[in-house]
Amino acid sequence: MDQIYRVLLVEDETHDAELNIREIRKVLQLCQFEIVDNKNNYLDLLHSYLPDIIISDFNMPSFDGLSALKIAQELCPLTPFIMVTGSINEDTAVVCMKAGATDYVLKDSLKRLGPSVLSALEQRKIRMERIEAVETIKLNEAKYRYMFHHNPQPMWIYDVETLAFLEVNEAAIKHYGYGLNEFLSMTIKDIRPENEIKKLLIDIQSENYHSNQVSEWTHKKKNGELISVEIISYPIILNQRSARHVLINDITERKKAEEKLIRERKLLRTLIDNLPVTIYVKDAKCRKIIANRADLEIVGAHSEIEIIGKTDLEIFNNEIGERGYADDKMVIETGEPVINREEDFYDSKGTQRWLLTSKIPLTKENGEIIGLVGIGRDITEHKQAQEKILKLSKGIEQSPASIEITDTNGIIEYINPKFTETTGYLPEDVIGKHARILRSDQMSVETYNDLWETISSGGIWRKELLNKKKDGTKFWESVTLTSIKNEKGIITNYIAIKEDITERKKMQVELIQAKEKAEESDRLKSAFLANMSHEIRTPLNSIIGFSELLNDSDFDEDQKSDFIKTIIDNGNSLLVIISDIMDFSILEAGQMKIREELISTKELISDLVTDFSNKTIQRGIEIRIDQTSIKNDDVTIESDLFRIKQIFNNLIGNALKFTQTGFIEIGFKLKAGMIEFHVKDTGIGIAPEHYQTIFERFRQIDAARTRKYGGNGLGLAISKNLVELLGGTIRVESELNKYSDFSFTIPLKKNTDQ
Amino acid sequence: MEDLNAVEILIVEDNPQDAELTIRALRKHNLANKIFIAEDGAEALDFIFCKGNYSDRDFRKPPKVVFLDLKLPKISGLEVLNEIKSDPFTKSLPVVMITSSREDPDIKKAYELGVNSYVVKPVNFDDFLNAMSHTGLYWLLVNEPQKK
Repeated sequence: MDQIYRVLLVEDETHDAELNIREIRKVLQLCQFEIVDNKNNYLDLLHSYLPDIIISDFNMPSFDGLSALKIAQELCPLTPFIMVTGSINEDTAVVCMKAGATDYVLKDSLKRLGPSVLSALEQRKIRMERIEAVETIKLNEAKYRYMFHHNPQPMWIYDVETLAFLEVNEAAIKHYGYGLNEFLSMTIKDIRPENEIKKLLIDIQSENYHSNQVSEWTHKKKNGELISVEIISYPIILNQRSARHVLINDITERKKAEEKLIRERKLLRTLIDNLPVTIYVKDAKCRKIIANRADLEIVGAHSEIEIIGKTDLEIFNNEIGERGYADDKMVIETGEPVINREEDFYDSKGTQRWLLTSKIPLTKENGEIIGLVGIGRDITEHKQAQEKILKLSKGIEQSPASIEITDTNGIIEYINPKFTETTGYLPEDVIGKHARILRSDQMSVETYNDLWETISSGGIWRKELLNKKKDGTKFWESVTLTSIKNEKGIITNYIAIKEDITERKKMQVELIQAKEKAEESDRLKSAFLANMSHEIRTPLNSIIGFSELLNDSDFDEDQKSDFIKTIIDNGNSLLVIISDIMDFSILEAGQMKIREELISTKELISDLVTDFSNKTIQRGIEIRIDQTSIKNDDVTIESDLFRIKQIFNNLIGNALKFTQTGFIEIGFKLKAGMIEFHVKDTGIGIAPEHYQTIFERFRQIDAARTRKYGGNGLGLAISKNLVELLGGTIRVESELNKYSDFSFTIPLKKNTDQ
Repeated sequence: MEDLNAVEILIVEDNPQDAELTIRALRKHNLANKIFIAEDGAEALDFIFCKGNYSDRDFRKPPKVVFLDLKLPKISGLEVLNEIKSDPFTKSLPVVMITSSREDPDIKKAYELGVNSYVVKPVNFDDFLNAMSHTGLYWLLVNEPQKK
């Protein structure tokens, strides 16, 4: 023992003290001593020195042993106190022991002191230890009670035999709603729902119940609310009773959360499985860890288990697998997602299909890539539709017909290249503009109204339209227009399919014109023939009719003489007609010969006046040379006099026929190196629309009128031909019922070029 | 002034020589019915429908037959024929067309418009008789004595 014992000696005799020390040192190697002989010092040292043992003399001059014992009993009752006395008196011994001294030793047998001190110290040690143990027990019990009652986890102790609550902590009281006394009057059956009590009683009987395992139960609160609890219990002995300490963990919320989680997971899974897109998750080694139903179908697997844990390489075992695996690796290595990659593959039936796939890396919070999520949409139908549309649109694009698509308002949305080729309009010129941009304004409003009415009611409209190109050129198009309807039958667009038929149309028009011309020519020829027939027959009728009368004896010589005159006149008329026809035939055949000679124009004009003066006088009108021509110098020309006279005869003959009153004026003048003759009358005139037609072959303005004025309709046509043959031109000016002025030019000398 | 209401034969002819020959052919065969000559289509219509210069004529006394040349000034023979045949009052008036040729395309048109017969110039009695017999007009003209 290496403790240094502090020893307090209460002794007035130094010699005695020495003796005591000597005896104590025999038993205690390590010790120190203090010696006092009065009360004051004794009190001081009790406080400051804290002796482990006190050894006191019974009798001292200034102090006494019993007083010291008494003080020690008060101030330090556990410190052993040994009384050393010189008197052998039993009473003294009894007094000392009664006063509480540990032992007493006679000065005569001081050898006992050593063992007595050892014994006293031993006793003291035992006592001290006992006191300490009691103190510790007291302290622990309070601590555990506190911990039990103030523990935030609800807990209780119940009697295993009676099942009655023995202790319930505050947390349990608070959680369950029962008061402490209520609890203590209840058994654990009272906090179970009715239907669980039977199970509880069985469980209590079983060995498992006491196996300190965590178990789940349903408890009932005071307010009737049922809660899920997880309990753990330990056997303890309380108040000599076998009991169990129960710790309760309310897991209602946790359970709800768990159930919710499970439900949500299930929902999510159902959702994922029923989505029409393939969804899968792969780990960092590109192995599938989740695959939805659509993905299984694409892969050709019957259940998830078949492909879970496998890479694309293992699942497909072909170049599709290699491609998929390469993509997966790239996403996981680089962290870059693959977005909307079109993948084609062959399904289990060998049909080509397309998948639009996106692969997105999965990362932890620290950015580490732990896998990927793949989403793929089956775009096979879309792709097929696209290819179909591509085919159709190429067909339209490359169509040899112009195609134009408009919205329902006629705003152009599309034109094909042929349209551009035909019209010159580029797509940017016309898209967004109304289709009427092509209109030429030469088609009737009704046409367009009919067009819109037809197509807006879903019909097909076919017609030929005269349209306008970008450069303003007009062209004919054969147009077929119809509506485009959506699945609901609602018109969404109109489409026009057009063909440039300008050339065809031109040919058609030319053909029609040629046909009409031929028909007109034929008609004119027939009319001419009928007219000629009539013209020839008319004088012949008279010749034959009156010749027959000459045979009749009923008539006298005078009458017959008249008949003969009539016959001669009609014969002459017939001659003129036949000459005209002959001339015309020769002209038509191009066989007319020109005999040129020098002609004095002045002489020609005056000869004509002389020739016609008789006839004009008979008709009561005047024929004269116009004033200018009278003043003009004579001009000599080199031409065919006979033909020029024939032209004049026709023109003056006509003038005579159509002039009732007034005059006929003829003349000449120099004009642009030619000589221009003219014949003007004050007759019925000619309407402007006939200025050209009167010169045409076989043409007569008015068959009925001609009848009145005679003539065969050949005169002017012959005249025109003759003038042109001589190198000139003929024209007319007139005003209806006022005058006609025919003029024709003749070259001064026949052009050698002609 | 001659009595226009007594006219039984109306000749519409612009050529006086042709008219004369026609009249002579009629007279030669003792058809002495009263004849009137209109020189153009307008005059013929005025006469028949009692208009213009002929407004005094009695509409109820039309000629018995009209000899109509088709080639007429002012209004053509076909128009005159059309007017006559499209008016309910004159529709039944017999019209004989005079033409210079058998080939005349107007003959067909005239028949379409309702002409009763035709003769070809120069008018001789044989033709006339033939034309009349088509219509029964000859006996009408011959048998019915003149009203005056």
